[in-house]
Amino acid sequence: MTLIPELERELTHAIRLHAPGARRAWWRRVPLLASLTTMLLGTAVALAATGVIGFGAPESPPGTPHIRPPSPTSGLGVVRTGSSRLLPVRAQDPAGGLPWGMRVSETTRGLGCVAVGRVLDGELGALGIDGAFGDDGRFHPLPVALTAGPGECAPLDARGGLFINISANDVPTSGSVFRRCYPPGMVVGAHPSELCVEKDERNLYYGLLGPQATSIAYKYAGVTHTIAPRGPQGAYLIVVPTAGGDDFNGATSALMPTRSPITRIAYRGGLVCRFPQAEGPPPSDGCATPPGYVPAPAPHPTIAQLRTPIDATVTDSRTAAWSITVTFRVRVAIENALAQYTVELRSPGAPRALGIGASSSDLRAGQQARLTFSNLTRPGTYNGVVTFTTSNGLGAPEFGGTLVGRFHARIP
Amino acid sequence: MRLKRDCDRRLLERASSAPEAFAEFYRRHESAVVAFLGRLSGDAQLTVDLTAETFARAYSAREQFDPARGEARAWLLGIARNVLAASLDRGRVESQARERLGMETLRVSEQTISGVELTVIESGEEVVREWLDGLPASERDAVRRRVVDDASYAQIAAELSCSQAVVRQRVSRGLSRLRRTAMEER
Repeated sequence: MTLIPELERELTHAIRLHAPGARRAWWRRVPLLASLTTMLLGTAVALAATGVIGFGAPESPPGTPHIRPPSPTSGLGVVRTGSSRLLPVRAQDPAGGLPWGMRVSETTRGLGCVAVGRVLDGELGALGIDGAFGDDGRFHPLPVALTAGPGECAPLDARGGLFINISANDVPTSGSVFRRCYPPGMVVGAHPSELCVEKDERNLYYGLLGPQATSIAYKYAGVTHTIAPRGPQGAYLIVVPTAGGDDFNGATSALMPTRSPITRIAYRGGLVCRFPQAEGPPPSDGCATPPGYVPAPAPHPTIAQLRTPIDATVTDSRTAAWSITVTFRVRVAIENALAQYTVELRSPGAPRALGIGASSSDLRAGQQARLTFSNLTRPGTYNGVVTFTTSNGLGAPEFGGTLVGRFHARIP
Repeated sequence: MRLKRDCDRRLLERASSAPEAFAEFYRRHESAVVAFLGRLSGDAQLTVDLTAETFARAYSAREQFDPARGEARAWLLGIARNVLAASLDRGRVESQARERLGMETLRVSEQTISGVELTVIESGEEVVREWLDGLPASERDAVRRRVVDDASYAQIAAELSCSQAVVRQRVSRGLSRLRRTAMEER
């Protein structure tokens, strides 16, 4: 196993194609086919221009054979059958065309997820424009089984409701979940042709405020707009052009809006929450969490309930680096994404943890948990600690938590 | 040592007709290149891109490797240093070698990024030592404090009991020397 298996594969593949006499991939070697494709693209674009948009192949993740397929008991889980629904909220794109919409779903690990995209005939999907889907001009539905990603999922609250606010910058106008272009400045080393053109990008602010929200005010280009949340979940969706000078790209999600143009949310009963435009302290006076939100009960086992021997085994590898495999028998089960076992590893002489990993899967009581830290090269004694942590539901390991056990391992 | 050089030479010679040979060469040196570039760039994603360009360039220049002049790893790290210097000059990672080879942009998993970060943390000290080894002691110390430890000129001057002007001169000379070395290895 190499450090960057993706690079090893791509290098080998490219060299194979590059070698004298090698067969080129069909899309790189058939000019006639290219001409035909151009003609077909022309047809699709013409169709789109006249207002008729054909359906294309569904959205699908790019080829990532090293990533395991979604599992109902690990990571985000998989979408529960029948839980996915398109919400009644729509937003026009600044350049026109199909409106943007939102879809919610629930997963087998206790999370609720939100996906956004363009909407056609009651379906959420992406357009074959701006480099997506070879610019085929078609509409590509987003399969209901796809969760958009960790940033768009959050734990359901105690009543099964989803409260989430997402700010996503540099989203391609195509609405593609799996970007077919990269935001400039976000990816170093991408070929210029793979970078998004800023005019083809949008900033999206969307979420679910809950049933008590009555109005949202946001400020864009110096003008304040007021919109009404839609449906019992208080859904909203704001779409604006990406402007030069936006100070971050990527997405953030939180219980209340953050990094967002939203300035004010009014709720039933007279509560009004105001949000500073610049990053500042969170809103106070009952606005730290949305009205109506009740946190899901999280397990809080004691040390005595959790305590178990931790085994750490050192193994050599063919790359001359070492690995430490940590195993322990779980005493308190992990039943959803709201809790996890976290393993921290400290290298010899280092005060801070150099590695941290999380179980990220459901575990039965009595089941053996296993986590491997690879590519360790510094000789000496490594110390580690296993804790039980309440998760943010996004699968990220967290520090702190309740002690399960300690371990150490020596690399010669 | 001789055996290792011969082995690397044979792998590079066979790479034209057998991609697996270059894959083996990649596996032998990947950790060293990742650690070296990771420590100097300080960013895992950037390290992946720089590593990709380094190996693509090494493949293109494989016929120039001369075992009589040193080990393959030193040759490879010379290329890595050159890729890094050129990328810093241009403000983006060089990509010509990858383009020539027809390589696609890499999409790496979070597990890969974690592995890269861990390797960088683990091997930082050795890499910096290797990078700075060719400098006179006074310049090495100044460059290390300024570039690696990110100390201010005033702070370094106080620690070394000399003027800021002297520190600036040592850092400038040290970096110029490193740049010249990189150019010679190009």
